[in-house]
This record gives sequence, structure tokens and C-alpha cells, in this order.
Amino acid sequence: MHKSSSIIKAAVERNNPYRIYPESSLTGFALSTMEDGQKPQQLKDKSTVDSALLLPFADAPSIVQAHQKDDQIESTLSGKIEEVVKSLKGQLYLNEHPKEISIAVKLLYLSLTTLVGNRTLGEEYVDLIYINNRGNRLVQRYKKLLFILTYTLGPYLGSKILKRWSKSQEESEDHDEKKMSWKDITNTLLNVHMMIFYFKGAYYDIFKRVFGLRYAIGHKVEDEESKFRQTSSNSYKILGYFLLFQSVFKGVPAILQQLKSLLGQTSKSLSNLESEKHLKGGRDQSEIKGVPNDSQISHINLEDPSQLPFIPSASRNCILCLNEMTDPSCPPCGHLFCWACIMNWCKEREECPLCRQRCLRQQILPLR
Amino acid sequence: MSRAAKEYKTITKVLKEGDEVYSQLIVGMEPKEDLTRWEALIRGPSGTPYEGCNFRLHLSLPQEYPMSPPYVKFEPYAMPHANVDFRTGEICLDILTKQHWSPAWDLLHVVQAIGQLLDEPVSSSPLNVDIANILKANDMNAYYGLVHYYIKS
Repeated sequence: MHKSSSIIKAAVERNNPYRIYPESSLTGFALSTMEDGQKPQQLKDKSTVDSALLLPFADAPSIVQAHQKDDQIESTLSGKIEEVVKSLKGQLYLNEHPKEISIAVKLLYLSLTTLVGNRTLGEEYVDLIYINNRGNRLVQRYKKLLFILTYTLGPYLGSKILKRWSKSQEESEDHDEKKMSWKDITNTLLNVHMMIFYFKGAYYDIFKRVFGLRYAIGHKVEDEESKFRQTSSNSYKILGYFLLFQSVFKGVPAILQQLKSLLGQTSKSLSNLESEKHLKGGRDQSEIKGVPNDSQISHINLEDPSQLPFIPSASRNCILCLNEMTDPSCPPCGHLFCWACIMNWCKEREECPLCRQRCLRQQILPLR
Repeated sequence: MSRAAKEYKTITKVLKEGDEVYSQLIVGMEPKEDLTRWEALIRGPSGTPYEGCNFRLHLSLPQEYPMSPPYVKFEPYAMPHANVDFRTGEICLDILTKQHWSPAWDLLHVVQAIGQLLDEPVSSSPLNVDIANILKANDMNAYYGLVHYYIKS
């Protein structure tokens, strides 16, 4: 892959006489020769450097495309590595450490590409290169290293630390709320990050934002291409709007509820005195709000021979309640039970009572 | 109608009319007080040291039955068997554990399975180590003798 990429690069260079790398000063040039072996020839025929000739920043669609390509290649790589690990350590080890293996794969992939100064296959695919956040320098190697380490190990270590932390919190009180809020905070942070990405198209990964690793397009962009890029990044902005709406609609009711509960607390303490039973009833009602009342559902009862007449009389009884079935439903294996009976059983164990085939609750189909 | 009531109906019908499978094994089976507690009298299967003797079983249905298995015990100090705790009457049978129970089984199946257990003790998962050891040594004389010593006295 290395050879072919350099051939393509050479071809691109010949076609683009204006091509320039983002070093805007001679000191930068010196630094860049250390950084990237391909740099000197490319800069040789450039005597003056003009800010207008800086490489344009990459747009959201091409960044996403590069990431998708990388993911695809990472999954092939991890498949190969899993095979090796399996033959060395056995299937059990593989099943016990899926996270660690995927992290190792990512580390390997990125350190073979980004760290050494090459581009990843995905970046090559859409012709992207890393530059700093102002767009006038290549990224220093230590930043790349830091990025790779945090990108691969960060979430894993973070979740481990959080888990341990919440465990220690469990011993003290009110752990539930805090654990929730931590998850919420990271989720909202990620959401905000994605929104900014869709609008601005700068940093796809949150750690790239932290270390200021931006992408630039590795060739001169003609008018036509830039127009095309403009329209496609506009469609990504729509995604950004969707995310914005989603988080607004999610967030507003939650905030309102918080306010309500704050206001309600004072009145609750008053009604508490009146009668506790009454309060309990009220709460139960509010909990099952939205689920239709039993009387509102039209049940299919096989006591009535006109219902689902294709079921023979010998099979119309449910083996679980021994009555004629109400709302006959079937797991993937095809055995029939009452809806309520089989749902109830699958809470205990997710398998068919008759043939023990695996049967998830969401796989159970009611017959109509 | 509740499942227990349905089972009561089937059991009385089976016992009254006689059934090829069950009439050999079950002498009697009836609920005590309510339908959650049952008592069964089973016949020792022929060709085993238990032949010619009857054994009493206590079955009690948990509230979640049939989603949870019934609790089944022999009478304490009455059942010398490799998979029965002699002092408590507790039975070690996989289908009576939460992991292996299926709600498709009913009380008759349970009693039938226990009858089979009398026929074929499993010495690899013993609750009565003495008898299990004798079985492992394949000492049939000692096995018969020990069982008879307990049940004939």
C-alpha cells in the first residue's frame, strides 16, 4: 500500500503545480523534514509561500468517509489478529477480552500509520493530512502520540475508573443519581461535540479537538470541487440540526420535570400527611401512563373457535397456563403460548419452555 | 381458571381412570389445605431395592409456579437414596433447579422424574455419600442390604 500511495502522490503533485504543504516558514520547513520524509521534494520547487496557497481545511463528509474506511480496515485487521490470538490463547481468552483486543488493534493500526508519519488508509483514500489547528503547520509527533494514546486508551481507562469510583460511591448514599449524572454529562458532551462537528466540520473525534489535530485536503481544490464539497457539507449541517433538535426535545422535558419535582416537593410533604396510600396509588398511575389499559386492548381468545381457525383444536391450549390461549404468540422456534405466559417466562430465562431454543423477549411475535 | 386448579383436575382424572405411565408409580396424590401444598405416595419401582415399599413426597408450589419449579421433598429419615438427603428428605434433581426447570412440566412430570430417580440413582452428584460410594464400587449386595435396613425397619 505504501508504494502505490507514493505513486499516486507523485501523480497528484505533477497535476497540481500550486500544491503546497502547510509549512509557511523556513523553520517550519526544517521541522517538517524531520516529521515527514515526503516533504522536501514537494517544497523544493516552492520558493515563496503565500497564505492563499495554504491547504484548505477538510470538510465533514470527507472526514467521515476517511473514518469509515479506517473502521473497515481496522475490522479486517482485528479479524486477523483475533485469529492469531485464538490459535495462541484459545476462544475463551478472546471472549473474555474483546475490549482489550480491539484497543490493541487500534493502537497497532494507528502507530503503524499516524505515528510513523504515514497516513492511514482512510486518510489516503480521501487525501487528507493532519495539520495543526491554525492550519499552517504539520502536527508534531508528540501530539500525534498523545492523541493515539488517549484515543485508544482514554475511553477504556475512563470507564474503568468511573466504575471503580461509582463502586466506592455505592457504599455511601445517593449513588444512583450521581452515576446517572456522570453518564449524562459524557453523553451531552459527546452530543455537543458531534453537533459542532456537523456544523463546522473540524474535529470528528473529541481527542483530536483536545490536541488540535485538524485535517486538510492534500491537494489543490478547484472551484468545481469546492462547490461540490460545499453542498455536501451543507447536508451534514442538516444532521447537526437534527441532533440539536433531538437534544433540545430530550432536554427540555427533563428540565421541566426537574423544576416540577422541585416545586412539587413542598406540596408533596403536605399531602404526605393526608394519606400515604392515596399518594401511592397516584404514583402508580403516573408510572404506567401511556400503556393502554387492559380493557382497552382487544384480546384474541382461542376459546372462541372462530378466532384464528387455522390452529387445530388439539393445539389451542397454552402449555404454561393450561387454558385456551389468549393472544397466542410464538418465539422463533414456532411453539405457541399465551402472550402473557411466554413473556413472563422469558423474564426468568430466555428460552422456549418446550424446546429450549434461545428466545429473546423482543423476538416473540403475537399472532393476528 | 388457575394453572394449579387445572392440574388438580387432570391429576384426579388420571388417578381415577388409571394411566399406563402413572398408575404404576403413583399410589395417591392429593392437595393439602390449598392447591399450593401436595402430598404424593409413590410405589418403589420393581427391580430396585425400593420395591414393595411406598414413599411419601411433599410438594409445595411457590407463588411464581409454573415459572419457578416446585419444592419437592421426601419425608425426613425415610429415604435412603444416593440423591436424597436422608435427614431432610431433600432431593438433588436437575429439573427441580431454577436453571433447568421448564414451565412446560407439571406435577405429574415431577413425580414421574422422581420415580425414575429411584430407578437410576446418579452417584456422581450425591446427597447421601455412603450409598453413592457403595454404588460407585458396584457392590449390589451392600446397596440392597443398606437400603433394606433403613426402609424395612
